Amino acid sequence: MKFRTDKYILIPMSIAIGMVIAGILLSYLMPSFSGVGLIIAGTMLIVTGVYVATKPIEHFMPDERINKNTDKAGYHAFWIMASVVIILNLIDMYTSVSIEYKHAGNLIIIIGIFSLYILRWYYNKKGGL
Amino acid sequence: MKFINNKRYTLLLVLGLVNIMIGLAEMLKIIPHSGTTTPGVSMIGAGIIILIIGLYLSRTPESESMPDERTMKRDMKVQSTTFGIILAYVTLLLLMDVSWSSNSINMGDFFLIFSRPEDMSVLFSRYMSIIFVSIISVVALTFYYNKKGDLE
Repeated sequence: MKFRTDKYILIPMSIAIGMVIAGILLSYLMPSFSGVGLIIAGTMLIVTGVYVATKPIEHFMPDERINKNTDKAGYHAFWIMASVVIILNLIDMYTSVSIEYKHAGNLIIIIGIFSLYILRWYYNKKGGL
Repeated sequence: MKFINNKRYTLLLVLGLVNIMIGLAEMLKIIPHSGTTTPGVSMIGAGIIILIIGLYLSRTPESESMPDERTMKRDMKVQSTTFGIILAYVTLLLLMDVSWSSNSINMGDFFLIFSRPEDMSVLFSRYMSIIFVSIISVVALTFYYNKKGDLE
């Protein structure tokens, strides 16, 4: 198995290793800070980097259809996310229920990312863009 | 005066009228509100704007008001880019709130041109700032892609 060693692999891999080391060090030095998130994210990046390094760079070049697909999915995901924010804002402004952003932010991010991926999958299956 | 009978324009007109009626109901205190200083004004304002857009579009010929392929491609590119910007902005705000416990920071305080920033707390809430950022991004990116020309 041949590994690529260009800058697109080396830079993210060094960042990933740095994240894991920072996570371990911060967990030891600052007991109140949980470095588990950094360690998990770094490990995921390393695994992704190793996978990407085994494939040729042409493998990841998006063609016109994939670009169009992503644009269409992003367009609809934007409106879904904007609607969620507007609805949350209206609830916050016009009802007695106070929705703190700290709690609603996660919901907005999850809805945004999931709708993007589900729509990309849907348009990929549907075809005929 | 000739109006074009189209579902889209009729929907805009109905939406505008509904907005105005909700605003009036708020003003007359039929609908309870959260104690803003000017209840119903924003709803009536939005309703009037939607009504004007609907009336304008209903009088424009179909061939002029319908977007061509380039416009549709541009809009898709603009809004999918805005999606990324908003996602990054939402994440940044969330990290600010969670890491720095800055929930008490009122974005209205940064706008010193207002003599009473405390009144602006509703206008510059986190949600409103997301909406503002998305509107500004859409307008700026539309201008940019229009100037750029090639959309590939």
